[in-house]
Amino acid sequence: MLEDTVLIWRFKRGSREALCRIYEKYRTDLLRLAAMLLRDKGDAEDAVHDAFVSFARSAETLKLSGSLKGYLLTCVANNARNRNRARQRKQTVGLDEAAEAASPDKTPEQWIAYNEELQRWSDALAELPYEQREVVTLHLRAGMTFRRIARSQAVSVNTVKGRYRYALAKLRSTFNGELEP
Amino acid sequence: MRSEKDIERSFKQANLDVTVGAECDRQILDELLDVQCKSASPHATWWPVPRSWALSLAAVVAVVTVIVLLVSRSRPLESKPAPSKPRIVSRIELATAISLEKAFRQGGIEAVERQCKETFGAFRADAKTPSVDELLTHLENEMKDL
Repeated sequence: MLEDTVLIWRFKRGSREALCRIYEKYRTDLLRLAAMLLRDKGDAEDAVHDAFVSFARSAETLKLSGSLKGYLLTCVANNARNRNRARQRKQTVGLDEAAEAASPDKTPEQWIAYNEELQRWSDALAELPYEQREVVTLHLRAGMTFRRIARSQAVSVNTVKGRYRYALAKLRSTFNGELEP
Repeated sequence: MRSEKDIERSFKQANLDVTVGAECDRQILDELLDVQCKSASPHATWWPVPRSWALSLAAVVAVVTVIVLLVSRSRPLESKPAPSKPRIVSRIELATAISLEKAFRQGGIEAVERQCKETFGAFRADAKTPSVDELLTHLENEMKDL
């Protein structure tokens, strides 16, 4: 926490080393979160990439009220949510328009590779509606409170708790091999 | 059969590992540093405080400077030297000045010179240092003569 405070202080004064350190310290956590929220690896990479780019641009305006890790995780979660919405919209447009809307600067080389367990959980989470997936992942893996998740999703705490319960029930039935009603 | 608690626990403790490609990682880091450089405002402050603080500090310094200037300019008017009190002169000085002035009015510079010579001649004749009282008496006599 103290290290993060110093890193932010230096980053706001234009320190390149501080930005490098922040990137190296949190990229894996962010990529893991993005991988669970977005099933597509390319989208996950882009979400983290965009979150870091906007963070790098925000040196002068950045005001942190909580932890740096929480801030970055929220950035990635918001970015992933926007990507998910865009993806849903894309499914309704024609193939030509979809090709134009695709990210032009996606690198041919993959940035990340998942281990088996991450792949298994990613597949299981993909069965959930996006909002439920986000609540479960942010609460259990990113350690966010329901109140904070509610604030970032702009819904009530009770809605978040409901989504969490539904998500757990569905995951349970998935892992137990039960059929969905 | 796994309970929901089991699901929660296993998801929390799962070893979810991602491997990051080194080459791609380096490219992204370079891009971030580039973005940081470009987004740095051209008038970014070299002062080790945020720009808003620097502006506030500059405003405070300006206000204090103006106040100091106003005070320093108004002080000479307020604190003009009071008219000097007349210097208290001794009886000898007073008598000397009056006698010399009278001599000058009556006979000009020659009369003053004459009076000085007579005075110093009288002292030399005594061949001793006159006391203050003697001097005063001598001057008073001179004045009476004038």
